[in-house]
Amino acid sequence: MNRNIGRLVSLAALACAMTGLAQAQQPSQIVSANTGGPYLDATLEAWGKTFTESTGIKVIGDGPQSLAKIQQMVKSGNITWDVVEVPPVFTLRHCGTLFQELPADLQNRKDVLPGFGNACGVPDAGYANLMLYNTKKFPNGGPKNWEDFFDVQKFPGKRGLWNGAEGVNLEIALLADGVASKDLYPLDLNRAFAKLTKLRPHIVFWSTGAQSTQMMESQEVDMIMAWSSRAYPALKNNAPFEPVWNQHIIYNNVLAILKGAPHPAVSANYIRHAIDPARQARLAELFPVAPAVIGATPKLDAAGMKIFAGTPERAASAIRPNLQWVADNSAEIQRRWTEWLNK
Amino acid sequence: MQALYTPSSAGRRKAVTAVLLLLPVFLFLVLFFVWPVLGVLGDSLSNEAGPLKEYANFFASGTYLQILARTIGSALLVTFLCVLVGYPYAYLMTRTRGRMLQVLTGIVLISFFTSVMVRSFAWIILMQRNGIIDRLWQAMGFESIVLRGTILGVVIAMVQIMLPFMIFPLYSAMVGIDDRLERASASLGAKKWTTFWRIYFPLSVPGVVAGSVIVFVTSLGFYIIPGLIGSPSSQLLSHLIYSLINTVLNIPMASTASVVMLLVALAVVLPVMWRFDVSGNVVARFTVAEGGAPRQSLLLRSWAWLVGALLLLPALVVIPISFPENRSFVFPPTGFSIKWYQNFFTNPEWWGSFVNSMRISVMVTIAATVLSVFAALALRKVSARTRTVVRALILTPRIVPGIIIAIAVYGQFMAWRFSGSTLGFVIAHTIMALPFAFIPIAATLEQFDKRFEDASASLGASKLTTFFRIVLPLIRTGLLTGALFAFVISFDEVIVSLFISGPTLRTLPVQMYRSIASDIDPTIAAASTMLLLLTTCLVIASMIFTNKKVR
Repeated sequence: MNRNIGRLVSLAALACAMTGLAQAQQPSQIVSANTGGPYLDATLEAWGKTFTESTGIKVIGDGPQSLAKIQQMVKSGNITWDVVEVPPVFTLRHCGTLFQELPADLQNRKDVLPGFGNACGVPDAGYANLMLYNTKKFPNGGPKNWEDFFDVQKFPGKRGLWNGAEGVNLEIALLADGVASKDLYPLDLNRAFAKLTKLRPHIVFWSTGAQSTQMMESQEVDMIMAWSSRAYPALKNNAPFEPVWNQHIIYNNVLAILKGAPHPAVSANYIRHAIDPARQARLAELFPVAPAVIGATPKLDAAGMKIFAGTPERAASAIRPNLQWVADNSAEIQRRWTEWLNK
Repeated sequence: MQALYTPSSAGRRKAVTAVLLLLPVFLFLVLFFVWPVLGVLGDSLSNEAGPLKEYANFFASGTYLQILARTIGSALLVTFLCVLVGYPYAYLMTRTRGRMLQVLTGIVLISFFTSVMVRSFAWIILMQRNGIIDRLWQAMGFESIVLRGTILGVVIAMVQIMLPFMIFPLYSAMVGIDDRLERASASLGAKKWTTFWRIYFPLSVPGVVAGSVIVFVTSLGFYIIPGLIGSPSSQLLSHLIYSLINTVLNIPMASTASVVMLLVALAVVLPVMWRFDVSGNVVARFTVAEGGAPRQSLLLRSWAWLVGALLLLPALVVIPISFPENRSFVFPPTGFSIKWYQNFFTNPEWWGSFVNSMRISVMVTIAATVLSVFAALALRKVSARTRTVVRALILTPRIVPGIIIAIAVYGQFMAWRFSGSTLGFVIAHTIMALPFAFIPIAATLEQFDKRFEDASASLGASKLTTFFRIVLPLIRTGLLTGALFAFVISFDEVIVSLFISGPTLRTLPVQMYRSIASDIDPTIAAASTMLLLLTTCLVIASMIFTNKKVR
């Protein structure tokens, strides 16, 4: 019995020593997390593979991420994600608490669209919050703006909407209610929720990007607010949906490193690797996000071109959200959204 | 040491043996189950403004109360429908013999052993817009109906998934009813309905109660169906708890909601346990009796076939969905390709998760079986009261809603660094598998004649020899049944696994869940088709095997 305990103790000591050693040395693998699904596969193909080739470090994917999981990891000190792609609101709101400040060369970069990155987040992938409509349901011209999207008399049918509060749904509700895009912020929450309530019986919610793709393919909805890049697989599979490039809200996700992550230097290298223009272009070719870095020029197929948010005209006509305001009011927005959702 | 062998201490020695045998299972459950659940209770009381503040917040919120009412309402509805649908089926099972009984039993067993993820996936495909149900409905001239995202859809799918849990205990209660009672009643001039309501039904009530308790409690804490079929705008409590943890990280409120759910479950379970022996009926044993039986009415038989169809057919939809050309769940699928099958075997995410599941299930089977045998052996040596307590402790994980075990284990395992490790999975699954392994093992050991052991001992065999040469072979059937249940429960477990899995360690059901919720990966259909085939073959093979043995 005693000998067994002794053995156990020495084993445990050995295990501790080994983890200590591993932390000091280069890791054999890192975990990169984002919204998951085909997009995750694309990032692993465009960035992960080449990163492994040049460093010998394997890149494992995980997703979808969520703020709660991030909070839980940081709180427990049990951090499994080395690099994580998050909506910019996360890093704007939690820089220094949940996310660590990045090396100087990655902070507040000038070669990206302003308004999304900060000391903790580097823009890595852009997309538009975009309306698409079913051309079978509306063969003679569909909705043209968010006002039409909310008009069930003129355009009867089911609407697909993201199950989330920050940065999109309240904005489009206000745009539909006649607020000019330059007057959106500060958001009038009461007015936005009142408008959403009227549409409520016609809404089908989607929670993950893949679900929005599936909704278009199975034609579960007649029009949808989708992340532009997520429409790509559906259009590629001949789902009868047409994008409406009007009043689309542009967004850039950011790459970040969690506070207390085990290999910050390697994680930073991975981020540098990912925002290289050539690899940015490669990702867009696999999965048409708009490159976050100016100077990346992807070659796209027809379906990709249709939903690519990075063309000069589409970039110019896009509405830019005031994410700092959203981040500052995030708690209140979340609370109101949950309350509304369960009414 | 010598003093222990004086005759007066024989009783004490027996007690010491019993304690030693009970110690593993006791320590295991207290440390890994009771303690984490108490942790949830602690978290729910952790509000700085006062221990009950979080409860006050919960009950002051119209939203939460509505969700609570909706949850209890739908669990009650599921339970009621399960009784309604399952009762005639179980009745017919007790009134048929031979081949027919085997078929009826086989249908329930196949449905029971078919992975919950496979059946949930099938319902999603069936209930989507332009899915089979929608198309049939429209073909009958009605307006389009999309059950996905509605409470009705959730209830229908849950009834189908819970039905075996209702039919098992119903059958085992009904099979014990002497049919001469009915004949006696008839000969005294009672009408058929009178006989049923006055004589038969009251005798079958223990089965109804046992089944209802299990179905109600499981429905209450079932996350998979509400999570995948339900809509975020008509949440159930399990859904709320999940999103409180995974989207807003409000642990105190999630814990409070869990404790409220647990109290609802206990409010139903405890009074019932007081009056009925629920435990024995959770897992039933089937006996195949030979000989003729009176032919039952056409109505009853048609009903049984309808229920059989409900149990078997929905899962079949995964077969056509497994061959599409595109990465899509659209029905009917376009094109033909076997690439999703190739993907299952070559993609490390799929094949790796399958291997993980097999490895974890085997370890859980061993752990749960060994703990159960120890506990069951000990039960033979203790007083009736201790027996009740031990039995209740081991069966508790079965009556605590799954989502609560999930949040309890998740919080504690995170702190212990068990999350995402094989050890964590094995421990969590063993908690859930224990009741299923324990019941058949304890049942066979109870029936086991003590005199065999005495005979063996009197012939000079040591205790160990007696155990391995005499006891073990005699309780083999119960042991195998228990082990099989433990394996299936672990292989199929998804709620707790969802919480404790990490990027480097996922089980097959978690991978399947992800492929529905966030990947839209038809490999799940390929995996489901293969699991379905495997289950069906195993059940049919085992029935042929037992049939041969009976003859």
